[in-house]
Amino acid sequence: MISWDVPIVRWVQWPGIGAAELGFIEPLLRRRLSSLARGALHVANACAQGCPSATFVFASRHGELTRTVELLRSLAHDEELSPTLFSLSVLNAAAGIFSIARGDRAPATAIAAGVESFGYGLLEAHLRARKSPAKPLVYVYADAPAPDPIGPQSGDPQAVFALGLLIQGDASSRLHTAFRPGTMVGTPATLQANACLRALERGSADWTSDRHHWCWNLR
Amino acid sequence: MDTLEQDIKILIIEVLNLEDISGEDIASDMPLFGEGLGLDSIDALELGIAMKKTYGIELEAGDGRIREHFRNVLSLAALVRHQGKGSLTHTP
Repeated sequence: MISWDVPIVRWVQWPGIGAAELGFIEPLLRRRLSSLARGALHVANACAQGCPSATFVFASRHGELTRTVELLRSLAHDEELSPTLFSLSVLNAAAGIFSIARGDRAPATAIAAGVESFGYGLLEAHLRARKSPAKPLVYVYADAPAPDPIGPQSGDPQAVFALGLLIQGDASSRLHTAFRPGTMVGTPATLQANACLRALERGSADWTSDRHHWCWNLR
Repeated sequence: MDTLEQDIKILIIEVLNLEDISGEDIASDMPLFGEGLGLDSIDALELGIAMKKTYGIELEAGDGRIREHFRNVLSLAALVRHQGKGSLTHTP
C-alpha cells in the first residue's frame, strides 16, 4: 500500500460552468491550441490565479495523439508534414504554451502513465510539493478519447476532460490517496480522474484497474 | 479587389487558423512576418507548403529570394502569376 496526502486549496474541472477563459493567451498563440490544450490551460489558469510563481505538473494518457495520428496519415499519403502539427504534437505542448503565455520560465513536468496517468501524475505533484511546501503547485490532468483508427480505450473520457488542483501547504482540506496491487483482472476501467473528482465533491471514492486499486478521501 | 490576392488572403487565414481576422483586415502590402500581421517561422513553413499544394509553385530551400516572395500578399500573388500553374483551388 502506498499512500500520501496533498493540501488542496481549490480545484477546477473542464467542462465546467461557462466557456473556457483563455483571454490570458494572445490570439496568435491561442489559435494553435487543440481542444485538449484549451481545456488543460483553462483549468491551469483558473487554479493559478493569484500565484505569479508556481510549480506545474501536467499529466495526460494520450496527450496530443490526434496531431500525431494526422502526421502519420500525411506520411502514409506521402504528403509534406505540417510544421504546426509537428511542433505541437508532444506531450508537453500545453505546458510549453502555458509557460510562454504566463511569461514563466519555471520548469514544468509532463507525465503519462497509461490508464493510471491521473494517479501517477498526482504522485509526482505530491513529491514536488513536498520538496517546497510553501510554493503553490498546480496539477493539471487532461485527456481526450484516443482518435481513430486507434479508437477510445478502456478508461478514456468520452470527450475532452480536464481537472486542475491547486496544492499548497497551508490549505485546510487534505486529499488522501492510497493504492495497492489489484486483482480485478479484466475489469473495464472508467476514467480514473473522475473517481478523484467524486471524492473532491462527496468525500470519498475508489477506482480499480487490472493493475491497482486506488482510493481517495477528502479530509 | 484582385481575385488572386483575395484567394491568397483566404488561404492564409484558413491554413494558419487566424481567429477573428477577415480578408479585409489584411492589406495586400501589409508585411506578413514580424511587424504587420505578426506571423512567425512556423507559419512561414506552413504557408510555403500550402502555396505549393494550392498553386503548384516550386520553392527551393537555398533560394535567396524566398524572403522577398513571402514579404506580403502582393509579392505572393506576383510569384503565383510568374511561376504558378494557375489558380487551382484555395482549399487547404
